[in-house]
Amino acid sequence: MKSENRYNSTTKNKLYKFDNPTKLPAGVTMDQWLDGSAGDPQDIWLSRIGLLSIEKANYAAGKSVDWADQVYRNGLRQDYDVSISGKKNEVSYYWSMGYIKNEGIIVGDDYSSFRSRINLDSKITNWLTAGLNLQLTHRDESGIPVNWMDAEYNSPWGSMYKDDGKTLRLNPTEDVLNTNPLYDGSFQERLATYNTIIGSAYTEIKLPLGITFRSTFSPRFEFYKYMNHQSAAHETWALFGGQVNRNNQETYSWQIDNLLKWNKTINKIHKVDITLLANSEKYQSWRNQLSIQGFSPTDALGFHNVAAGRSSTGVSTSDDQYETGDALMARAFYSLKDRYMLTLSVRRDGYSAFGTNHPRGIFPSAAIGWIFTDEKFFKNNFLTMGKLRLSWGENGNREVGRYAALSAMGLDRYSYQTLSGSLYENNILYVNTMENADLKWEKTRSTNVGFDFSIKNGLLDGSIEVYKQRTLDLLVDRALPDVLGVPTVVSNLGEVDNKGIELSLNARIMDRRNFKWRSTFTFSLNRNKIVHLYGDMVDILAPDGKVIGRKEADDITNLWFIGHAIDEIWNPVIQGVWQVGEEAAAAKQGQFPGDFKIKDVDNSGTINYVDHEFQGFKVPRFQWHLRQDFNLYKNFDLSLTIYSQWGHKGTFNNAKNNDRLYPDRFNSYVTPYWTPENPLNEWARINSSAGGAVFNVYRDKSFIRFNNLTLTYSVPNAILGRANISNLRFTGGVRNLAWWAPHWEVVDPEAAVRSGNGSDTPEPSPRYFTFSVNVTL
Amino acid sequence: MKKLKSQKFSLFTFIIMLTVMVGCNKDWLKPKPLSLFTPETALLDSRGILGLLSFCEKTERAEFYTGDVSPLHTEMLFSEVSIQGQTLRLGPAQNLNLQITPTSQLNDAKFNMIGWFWTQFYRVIKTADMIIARIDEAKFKDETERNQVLASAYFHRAYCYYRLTLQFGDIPFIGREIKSPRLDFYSTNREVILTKIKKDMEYAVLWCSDNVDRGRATKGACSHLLTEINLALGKFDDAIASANAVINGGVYRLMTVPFGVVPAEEGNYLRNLGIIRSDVIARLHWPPNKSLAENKEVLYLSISRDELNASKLNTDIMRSAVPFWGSTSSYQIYTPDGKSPSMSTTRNEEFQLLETFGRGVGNTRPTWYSQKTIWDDPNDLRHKRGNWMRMEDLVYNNSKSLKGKSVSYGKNLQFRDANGKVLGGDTIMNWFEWPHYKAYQNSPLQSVPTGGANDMYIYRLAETYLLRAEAYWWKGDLANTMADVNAVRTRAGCAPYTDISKIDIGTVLDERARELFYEEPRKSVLTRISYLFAKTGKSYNGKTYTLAKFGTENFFYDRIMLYNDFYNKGVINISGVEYKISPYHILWPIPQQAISANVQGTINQNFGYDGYGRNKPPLTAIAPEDDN
Repeated sequence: MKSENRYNSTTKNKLYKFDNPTKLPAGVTMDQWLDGSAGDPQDIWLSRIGLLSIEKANYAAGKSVDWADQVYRNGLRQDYDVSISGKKNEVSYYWSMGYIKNEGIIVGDDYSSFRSRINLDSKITNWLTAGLNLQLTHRDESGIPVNWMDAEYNSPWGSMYKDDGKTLRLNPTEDVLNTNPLYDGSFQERLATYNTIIGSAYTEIKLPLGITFRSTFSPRFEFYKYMNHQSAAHETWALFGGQVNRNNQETYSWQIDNLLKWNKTINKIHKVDITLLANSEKYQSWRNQLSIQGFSPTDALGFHNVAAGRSSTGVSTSDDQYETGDALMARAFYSLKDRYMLTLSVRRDGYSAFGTNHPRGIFPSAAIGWIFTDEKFFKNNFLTMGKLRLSWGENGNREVGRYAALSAMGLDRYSYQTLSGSLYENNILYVNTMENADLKWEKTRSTNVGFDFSIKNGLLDGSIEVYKQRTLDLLVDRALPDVLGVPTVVSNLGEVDNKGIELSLNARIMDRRNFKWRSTFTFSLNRNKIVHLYGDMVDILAPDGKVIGRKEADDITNLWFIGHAIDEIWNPVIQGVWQVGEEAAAAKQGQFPGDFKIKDVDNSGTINYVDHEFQGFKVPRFQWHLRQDFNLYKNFDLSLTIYSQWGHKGTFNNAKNNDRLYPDRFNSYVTPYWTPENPLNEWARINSSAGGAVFNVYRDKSFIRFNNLTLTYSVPNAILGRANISNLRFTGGVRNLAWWAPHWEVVDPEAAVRSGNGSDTPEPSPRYFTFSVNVTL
Repeated sequence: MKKLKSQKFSLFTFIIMLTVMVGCNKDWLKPKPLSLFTPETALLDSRGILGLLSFCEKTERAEFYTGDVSPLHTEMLFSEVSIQGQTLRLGPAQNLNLQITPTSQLNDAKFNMIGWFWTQFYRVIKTADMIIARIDEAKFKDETERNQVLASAYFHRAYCYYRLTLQFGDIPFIGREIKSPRLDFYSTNREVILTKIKKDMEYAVLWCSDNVDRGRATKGACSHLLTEINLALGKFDDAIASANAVINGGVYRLMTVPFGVVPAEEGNYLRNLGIIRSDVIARLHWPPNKSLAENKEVLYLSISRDELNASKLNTDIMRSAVPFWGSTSSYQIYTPDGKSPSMSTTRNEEFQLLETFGRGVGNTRPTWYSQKTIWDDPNDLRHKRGNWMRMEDLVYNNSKSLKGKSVSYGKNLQFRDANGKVLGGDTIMNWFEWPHYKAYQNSPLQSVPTGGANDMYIYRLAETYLLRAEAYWWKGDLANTMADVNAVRTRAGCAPYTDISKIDIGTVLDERARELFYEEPRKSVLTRISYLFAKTGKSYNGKTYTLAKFGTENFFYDRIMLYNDFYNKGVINISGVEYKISPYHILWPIPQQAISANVQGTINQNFGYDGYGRNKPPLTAIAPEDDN
């Protein structure tokens, strides 16, 4: 519903003007309500609340559109798989084929894929084995989802069709801000496919002295094709005569791994295992893009004939990319009596994104293990297995753009006209990123202590892991003073400490003939803290401006603060909502009752960085996952999973009730809102004002989700044997059954959020019902 | 089986060989930017350097284009000519006391575009610095080409520094190419920067040419910019000399007779009323006429055309500068007999208002000053019906809701009904007069025309006259002030001013408002004049100013409070926002991002904003390594 509830001095005394004339409040006469207007009161009322001609007519006729029904559907997802496998003489083989056809819950969101996999292994001589593994996939992403976000914004009294009852209307109410969610998609045709070949060929050779050598070559090809036609029959696209885009990309990457292994057992108690690896990899892609408009004589051939487009509108671009990497690794493992274990390893990784000055990083690690329950003095019948582990090691991270370290120049065009009148374009160059030739590998140094155990031979298994990590040289986009003309540079940020604990338990709770119950539980918790940033020292100032010390500078732009977590929230503090009676105090901030009351820490009358405070974290403080498996009468399997993330916060600007850009022209989900009669403290009035402040509303996102329930029936072998079937299973299940989020009021706390029309709109989260049949011959 | 064996074996040897080969290659991990230019590969000759120049030109163009509010409009709302008229939502800069702070949203068309100037002008400066630094590394045809390119780079750098010093006061001066991160910038005194760019422009005017393509800065544009810099420095004789170079140079002249094509809107509304806009003013501002070789008034023009797909940009001026007459909010225009919606923004109505005027959204809301106060001559072509539109010149045109249902259909709009009740809905956003001759632009590729890809004037000779008029006024030469104002006035059909005793700085500013609405950066102009009042001690309306109290008492604020009927009355709009401005807004806040990220130096904040107390004295000289 559109709503008119501005609480301000100019309209508050006549708010009854917006009431339905047939239901006027006590004491308000029709004359007062009319306020000088003449004519049909219903028409006047609908005008006052902002309904347009079409809406008024549909309202009078009792017609309405449920836009959500038009964009959401129950999608059918189908998945078929067949496979054969076997072994003949010295050759074993596996071949599978699969087909997926998925409909999303958004109308038009269709996806299908066909895949096949072939594995062949052949023992050529007793010292030489070779094999091949090939996966072929065809993915079709040609579906064009309708603009589901528009379903929320549109008026229920808009019209889906023009007066002829069959032509879609671009603007259902004729307000240009609101677009029919089905309109664009119905004038588009798309072909978007990916063909992928992933292969791997290996040979393994057994050398004397127990040494094996394995060499693997793994190529990957991807062929991407995207063709899209926006029809000239579309009201807006007609103006440029339709448009076609054709994009192609070919990707070829490969990896070679040479692995040398040697293991030996000496005197039955000393086991030695040595592994050496040499690896190299290469990625190459070639992309062509073409777009053209202005089709003549017609765009009836869709995207198939771009030559019919007006050549001056044609834009073709290309983007080719290249990267390389390599690795050398050596690992030695030694165990004594299978009770004391030692692993040492070192690896050297190379990556071309760091290639200018520091292409390679070296990462050592060491680990010891002790199965103390094998010691005579510890043998018992309760703790049947116990192992202590201690490890230390370094890991590298190269998650950075291929060309992040280079000063890449953007390419663009600008236009000129000669004095004789001819037009032309000139290529523009500009600096996009700042060079950082010293970019290097990010390094994480971690120390882990682990304890694995088994009680009563598997009645309860589990492991506890405690770790401390120090990440150095983090790869980040560092904020620069914008006077440099480039906003950021990819840099190695100082140091972040992490510590945490992970627990996993596996219990055999019941193990009877006709009833088995297993339970799996995992729990994890992590804390992080920024220890150093870029090492830039700044003065610490006393309130009077005197220098009282030095400290390392924070990065306020990226909201990184020394001594605080990376995900810590730093934001003005909301102290509820200004209520009636607080007009004077609200006015100092340029606000009114119904607006969020922001804490003015320094009483300066304005809200700025001084008024920001740390208030919680964006990443869950801890998570757990619980799975229960029941086996009943041997043939029924029931499993259910529940998981939870707890203690984190997320932005919830819907509470401002002003995120619809124009609240009286956009429909929106019904959420609570403040009025003088409904003096809420968590929700602001409609179109609430922030005064001069810039802030986010944060809410606790903690939740527990009942994620999965699956029931499987395996047909007993006694029945199958007669039909020559070795295995037959029927499975039914539901995913995303329910969630409980005590402070997150409106939507799924895990929903991805999209921005549109100045709002945060959560994507709808689907619930899946599954039924499957599995046959093995 | 035998054959299979040997095949596998050869595959195996092949793989080992490949790895060995790769491992031995030293250049294996060298990055290869296949489709990306880097300065090392792209800036080897004049073509690469000219590509950098085009970046400067394209970036400068964007001030006048794009979005509901162009950056230029932010300049206008800090002045007496306009306010931000978007009243239906919160965010647009209206209560400047609350909304303009260093940490506010400063670079978003839904709020204001102060930060656009800061970031984009510094990007131009960076690009110009690259040209200047590499000018002798790149190959040019000859010394002349080299010097022309260098002169153009000086122009763009000076263009941005001139504006930034008027918008933000003391700012960091960067005159070298910086290739690695730096966080130790300090603000430099604005006059030091102005003196430096004056020197650069004195070189530029020697080498820039008037015989360049439209879209490039001409020699005339260089002299025009030099005139502005001279004025800002209070060097009035230099300003007159540099203005003379343009006005008397023989290349440029004011267009006094109709030229080019006759403007014709897509819609028939004005034509059906018998209005043909064929006078010189209408033609001068008709986009297809702006770039004509016979248009001798244009000094620096931005180019944008629908036929050049990759470089076009929409002006959106028809959204910004036209009232929201077709309001679809709950504040619509009613007919005198109480009907709504009374206005239709669909195409092919009997009265084609959409095609004739566009569907405005009323962001650039002119004040009473620019709608009424300044118009003193009934023959002024700039205010002639057809060129200039009043709401009462439109008709109730919604055939669907009115035709056959209301006597008002096809009748002219009325502000009030017979009982005196206002019919205009929201009189800030929906109801004002506007310069149709500047706002209307053909937009054939837009279903709702908003001002498509069209050329816009950046510098025009009429402004050079008014700059010279200003220089004469500061010198007390009122006769020449009047003569230069008259040159602009009489071209628009007005009678010349004759009473020299009435000539004042206001005469020049009023003429600027008439001639240069939606062209001049009004706030920068007022700030330049305010500095000069404070510096010279001249009086305005009997009041004198000082640099010491610049942030609390200045000409800028007094002029706005005299004429801007929103800020001086404290008008409150329907969203409850009060229009407010303060004297310290004469300089905009330095965006906090720049100050916060600059941890090893100090970029000064301006008076009136948070952080002012942490300032250090500005640098009083250009560092030798920046003096390029």
